[in-house]
Amino acid sequence: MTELTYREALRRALTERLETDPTLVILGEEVGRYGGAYGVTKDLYQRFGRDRVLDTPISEAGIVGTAVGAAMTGLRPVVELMYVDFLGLAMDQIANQAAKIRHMFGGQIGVPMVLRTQGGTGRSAGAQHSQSLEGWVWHVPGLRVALPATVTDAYVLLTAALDQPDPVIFIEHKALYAQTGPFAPDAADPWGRTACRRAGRDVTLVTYSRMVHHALAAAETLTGEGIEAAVYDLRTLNPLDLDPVIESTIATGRCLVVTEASLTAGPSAELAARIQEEAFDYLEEPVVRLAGEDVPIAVAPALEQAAIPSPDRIAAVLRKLVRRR
Amino acid sequence: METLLTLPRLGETMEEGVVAGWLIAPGDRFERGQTIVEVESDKTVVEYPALQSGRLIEILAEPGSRVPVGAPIARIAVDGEAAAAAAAQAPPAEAPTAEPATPHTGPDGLPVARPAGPRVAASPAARRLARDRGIDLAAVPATGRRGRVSVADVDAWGGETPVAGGRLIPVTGGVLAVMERGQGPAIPAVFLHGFGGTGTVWAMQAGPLARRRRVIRPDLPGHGGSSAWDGPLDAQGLCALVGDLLDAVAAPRVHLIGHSFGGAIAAAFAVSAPDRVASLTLAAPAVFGPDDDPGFVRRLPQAADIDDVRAAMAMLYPDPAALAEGDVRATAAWLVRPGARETLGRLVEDGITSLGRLRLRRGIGALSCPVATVWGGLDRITPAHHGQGLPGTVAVHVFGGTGHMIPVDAPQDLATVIARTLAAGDAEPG
Repeated sequence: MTELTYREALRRALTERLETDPTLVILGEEVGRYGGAYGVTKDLYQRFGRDRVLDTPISEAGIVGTAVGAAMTGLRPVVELMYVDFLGLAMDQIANQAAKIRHMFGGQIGVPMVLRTQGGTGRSAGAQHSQSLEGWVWHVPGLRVALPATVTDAYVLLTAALDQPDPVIFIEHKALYAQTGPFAPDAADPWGRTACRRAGRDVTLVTYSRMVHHALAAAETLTGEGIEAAVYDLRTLNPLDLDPVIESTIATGRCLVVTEASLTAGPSAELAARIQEEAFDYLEEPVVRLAGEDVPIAVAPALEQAAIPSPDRIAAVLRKLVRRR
Repeated sequence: METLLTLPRLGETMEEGVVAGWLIAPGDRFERGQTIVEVESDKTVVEYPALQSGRLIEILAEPGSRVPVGAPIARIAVDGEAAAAAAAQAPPAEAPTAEPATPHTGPDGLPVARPAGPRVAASPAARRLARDRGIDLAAVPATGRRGRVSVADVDAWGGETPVAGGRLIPVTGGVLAVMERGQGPAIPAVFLHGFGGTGTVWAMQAGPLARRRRVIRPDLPGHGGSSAWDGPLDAQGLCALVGDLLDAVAAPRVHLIGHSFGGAIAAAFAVSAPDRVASLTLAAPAVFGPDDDPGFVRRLPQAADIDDVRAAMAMLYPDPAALAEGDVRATAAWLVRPGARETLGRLVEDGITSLGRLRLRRGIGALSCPVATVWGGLDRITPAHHGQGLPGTVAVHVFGGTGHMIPVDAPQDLATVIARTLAAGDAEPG
């Protein structure tokens, strides 16, 4: 089977579409000559030229606003927002323009824009460059939100995002770019479907993005102790496909939601609430959340790691959920 | 401080109720949480606890009396500060209902937790299982985290279930959920409900009888709290099941009362075991006529959702508006349990078909015990003219303004016919 890096899989999706879709343009800070802050658009400027891959000034509101207008008037723009932490600078364009236009113009026009960005910890990037802010955009009706965890999904979800008629906030994980993995798009689940990454009868674990890997590591540890944890990867938060998770929770009676995003008023709360509402009569334990600490992320690697769920902590919580006392 | 105890509202649709029995006498003291009176609505029987401590002065509603919600049923004296607080917060007539008075009832209408007692800590999954099995969580030893009752605890609980009036009785083929009330020397009464119903349908008739005798109301296989069925469900199997039930509850000879499909089972059992039946009262018995409408019994097991259940049940009433939404929900709740639909389907295919071949019209005429039939003049499922041409020894009562659901539509008149038939049966030598 072919192996690629997460970064290469993303680039492959963009390259294929640049070749086949003449309306596709990429714009962002340093996406052209430099090849992108994390190297995803490397060589695309050289190959497709300055009309297709545009280096922009450092103005997030300007970049996203340009893309919204381009999308409304017939292009398929792919914006790269260097860090998800910069969402605030472009938030009016995202939340008040991109997300609202189909509604406010009676469905006559949409915003088929993909906003690629990346978040999370893992590179000592500091408090202003390490956040997990998917909750900010998930909260806004009208935005699709995708968070690929695997190499295959980096390609499959980005390709699918480029087919969506509405704005997609596509959040990559900075700690995954260099990760190598099997590349098998044919075997992947379609857009909007939750993937079962591991079957298990004792407890249900639901997460997305990089935490999928931590969850799988924890589940692997527990197998040796006779505990089988099912691991679900949501892949997209909007559309949200919770049915398989709820089915599994009904079977196990126990569910743990894991997010790198911080706990309070975070995505884990929304997920836990929905699962609890649907699976209530079948629960043996409360639906438990394990999320990032409610702190600014530190630069020091030890403190950075301590601020987010680790495989060990996930395993510890799972053990506690499954144990009788 | 002296105040009036009023009839509590035990469900959203309850307008009146029957005081089934007082558990304390005038002059007795009672403590907060102590059960002092049993109240019967058309849905359920509830042991109603005192909301404050005090003393019973005078009973205003004797057992058996029917009173509207909010009407005074006793004069009580409540203790000190609680009384003053209650009086300050609410007018006297409302004071006893100032705390939530709605009992926690499962879909089968059985109370699963007492409103004023301490709440039992249990996982939601354990609650659901206990509700399905009619088990009182308070009786189950808890081994879960923080003292919670877990599913494993409920599973492991093999004891008798002290839920008000409900217990599970294993017989050949499955487990029957049985409500039993009352005691006394008189011959016990056994009620068999109709297709798609549960034992709770008889609440209005069972209450008054329970003052002198045991009143036993099973849920039929696949219905209510009873399990899906492994054994045969043809006429022979159903008769054997009634016999097993009577053996299990140590009732060698009983008065049998049946409604609709339950009426057909009761008749078949009486004909097959006449020495075990002291009297037979049949309300709208099914399979007595050639033009029984099978629409309802075919439709209910096929119901895909609650709207289907509602549409099927509406067929039972001349005026579909008379169908209580609570009954629809309760039926939908037990209908989704594993095996319920399949069991109901077999009751239709095996039970109704073979009961229809038994020539029960002639059979009940040959019984030596008193036999009464009751028919609803507006009944479209088992029309009243099926009562014509029954053997002359069988009493035929036609309730003109009533549909198929006689126990609900004409509860008092049916109770009267039952009481008279039982009295006649009690008087005859066994």
